[in-house]
Amino acid sequence: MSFGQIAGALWYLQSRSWVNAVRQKIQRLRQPKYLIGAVLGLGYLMLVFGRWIFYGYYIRTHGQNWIPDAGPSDLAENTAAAILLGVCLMNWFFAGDRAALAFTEAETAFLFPAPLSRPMLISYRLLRGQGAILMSTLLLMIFSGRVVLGVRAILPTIGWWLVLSLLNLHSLGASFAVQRFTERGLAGWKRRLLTLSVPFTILVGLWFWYRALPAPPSLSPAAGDPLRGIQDLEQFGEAALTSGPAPWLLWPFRFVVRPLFATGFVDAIGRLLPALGLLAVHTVWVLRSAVSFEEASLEKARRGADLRQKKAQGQLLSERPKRVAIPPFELAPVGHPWVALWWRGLVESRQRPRTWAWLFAVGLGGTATARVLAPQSTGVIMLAWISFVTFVLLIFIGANQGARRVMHELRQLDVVKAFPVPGWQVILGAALGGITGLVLWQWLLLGMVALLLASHGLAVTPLGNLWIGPVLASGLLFPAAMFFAALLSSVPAILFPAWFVTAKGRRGFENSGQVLFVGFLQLFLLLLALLPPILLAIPTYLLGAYVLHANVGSFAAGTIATATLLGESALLLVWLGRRFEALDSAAER
Amino acid sequence: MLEVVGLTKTYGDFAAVRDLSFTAGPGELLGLVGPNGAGKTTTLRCLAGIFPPTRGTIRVAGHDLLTQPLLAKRELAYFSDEPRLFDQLTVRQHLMFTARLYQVTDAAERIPPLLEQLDLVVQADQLPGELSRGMKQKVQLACGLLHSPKVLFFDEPLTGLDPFAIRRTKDLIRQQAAAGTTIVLSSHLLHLLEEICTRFLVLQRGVKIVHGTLAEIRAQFSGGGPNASLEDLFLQIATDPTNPPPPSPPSPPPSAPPGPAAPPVSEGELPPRLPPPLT
Repeated sequence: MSFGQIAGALWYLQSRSWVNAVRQKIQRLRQPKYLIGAVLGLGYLMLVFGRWIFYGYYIRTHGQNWIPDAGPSDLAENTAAAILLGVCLMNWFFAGDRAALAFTEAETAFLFPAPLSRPMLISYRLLRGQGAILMSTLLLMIFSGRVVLGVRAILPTIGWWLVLSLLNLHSLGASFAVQRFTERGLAGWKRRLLTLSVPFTILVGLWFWYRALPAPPSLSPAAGDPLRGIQDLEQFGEAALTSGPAPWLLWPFRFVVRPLFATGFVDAIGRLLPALGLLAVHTVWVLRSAVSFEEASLEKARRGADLRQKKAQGQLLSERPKRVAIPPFELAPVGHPWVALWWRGLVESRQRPRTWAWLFAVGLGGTATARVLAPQSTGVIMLAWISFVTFVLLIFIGANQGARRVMHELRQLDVVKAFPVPGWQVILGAALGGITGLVLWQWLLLGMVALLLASHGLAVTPLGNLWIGPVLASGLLFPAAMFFAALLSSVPAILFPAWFVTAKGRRGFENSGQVLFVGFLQLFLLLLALLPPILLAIPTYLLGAYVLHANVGSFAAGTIATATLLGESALLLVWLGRRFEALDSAAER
Repeated sequence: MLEVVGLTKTYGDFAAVRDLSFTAGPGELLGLVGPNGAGKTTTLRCLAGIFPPTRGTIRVAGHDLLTQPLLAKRELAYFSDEPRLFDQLTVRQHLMFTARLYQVTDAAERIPPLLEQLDLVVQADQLPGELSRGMKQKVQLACGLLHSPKVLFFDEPLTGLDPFAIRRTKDLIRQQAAAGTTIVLSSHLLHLLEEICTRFLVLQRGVKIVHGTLAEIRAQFSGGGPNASLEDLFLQIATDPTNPPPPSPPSPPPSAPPGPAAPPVSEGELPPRLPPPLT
């Protein structure tokens, strides 16, 4: 088989896979809900990122260049070359003793037994890697603000592509070379020592060179204008990278990054040729390094497949359990079925009353000790603020965890749908299973804040000593808000399971915009849902504070607000339950 | 016990199952036969309440699966070809979890004999990760049988099992049928179906081709001879180009099928499961 035939086979595989993936996405869009979601998502994406894409049009209509052109700069080139040098050294240091190419399990099954030589397999892998490199190039163009339609896009695109392709080749070549070292008895620490000795020698040289350099500028505000300090630093950096051994060390790496800083076509041609030459040398080096990579590649493919499967089942962060978890309580065989799902969530997240008792004892005991030992310290006030901010932020973390748990149930829809359990109970049990641990954290943090504030007399206000009322009210209201936010975050997964639940479905531009759009929509809806509780809480507080005491007023206001929020949650839960029951897993592909 | 009228399941323009009707009585062992893509798994998942049917009526032990899904689901158990267990629950915890879902009041009394019957006593406090595939299959069976369902659905129950496990599963299926449970079993192992099933339902491209005992099928498809095996008959049916017939126009909404009507029990007030006899 020739290289052309391999390229043909690869092209067929990739193009057919891509066409089939697009076809599947289009088929999904035949469902009106996905079509509307995709239109909204794409619209949002264009609104946010469109101005970058239509940058050229923007300049023509607004008449200004609002993205600064980097232009030729020795410092920028040298810095980029130094970073590249560091990355290449890391390739040598962190390469495993056995070279492994990243193939999928299907590729190993079809290609490894096929009559293909090692260089052909490497060529296949290199060509397939171009897809990811081109996508990374596009992302780097977006993040560096250089995405434009037209000729201006060509130079930076080629520049980034060259850098990424060369890094890919160098990493592969380094892993092959390391395996050769290993086969010749230079494995493990010996090889690492050799790799370390190179930068060590360089560092020693640099130290002597550094001593010959002028003193670095001071960046402290006391030194005067901070901008001036940065300019001094730039000059120092430029001097450092262009004197002593640095130019020699960075010389080959500058060839690679120089096309990124080309200012025009004539300039670019002169910069591209040496870089392309280096790329060709690397390609030959890699293709001629025919070490045995098959066994390690098979193992890598298997691990990759395991990882993808875990990701699909939502178990990416959870290792397969090695020991049995102790249940937080005995599950009675009769009672509300949602308790079973909640119980399972607690078992799987290993929540134990004894652990929590210890945490509360240590947290509150430590806080009380701090109150006694350092009642007026600044550290105590800082701790109170940090605890309070974490307490509030836990609402969003809890929302995420609750939704993840609901998605976990959706991933095993075939099992869960066979249970004789109403949809709302499935969602309730799952959401509670996700947030219970975080609610306990909230209460612990709230207790710490209460102890710390009371010790400083900070709770004393013109309305009286506001301590117990707001604390109790917050202890009710914030967990309720977390529960509501968790339900709200579950809505996209239940409405669009093909987009939000499976790892494969999450890919695609139509979905990326939609995810961002949904995120902002959720925040808006959360704020909207908080309006009725706030509107009811204000008069309740005023009445309670006027008639009895501010503490009573705040507690009553918190209770009313919590009840309202739970009422809203109940409505949302019923709606989600109905959507869950109507979900047809066969149609959501 | 199981009544299916006009069951149709479509995905967009594609009909996976078309206008399927059949009944299976208590103690009946119905073998679901068909080539790949015939709609067997889709049919089973619709019958188990996992996929909502596009059209048609399914009644499980007198309860309509569409209008009374919770009552109907409490009378059935579905066993997928691949046992899907929860990584972090032990075997015993799986059973307790199932008991709560199905409201099995006497779970504490029922679990020990069930573990013993399925040879799971030693593994009772182990996690699924420590179990072999056959053991996992047994855990799935234990969970499915805990609430003594009246209808069992098996999708390829013998895939990947060793000869001992195959024998045990076959015995268990027979025992359940002997105790009056209706069993629907889908498998490509035709000799197994012929050995244990009392009736057969042959599907092809989502359409029922024939439904009856082996003798009745032999009589209808006489090409295989009077002693033709299920495999002979299946091959004859599957290679007949006239099967299935072209799709008929959409059938009118099905009327209530004959048989005992479900009592008007609200699903919000499901009573706990009464202790059924353990077979």
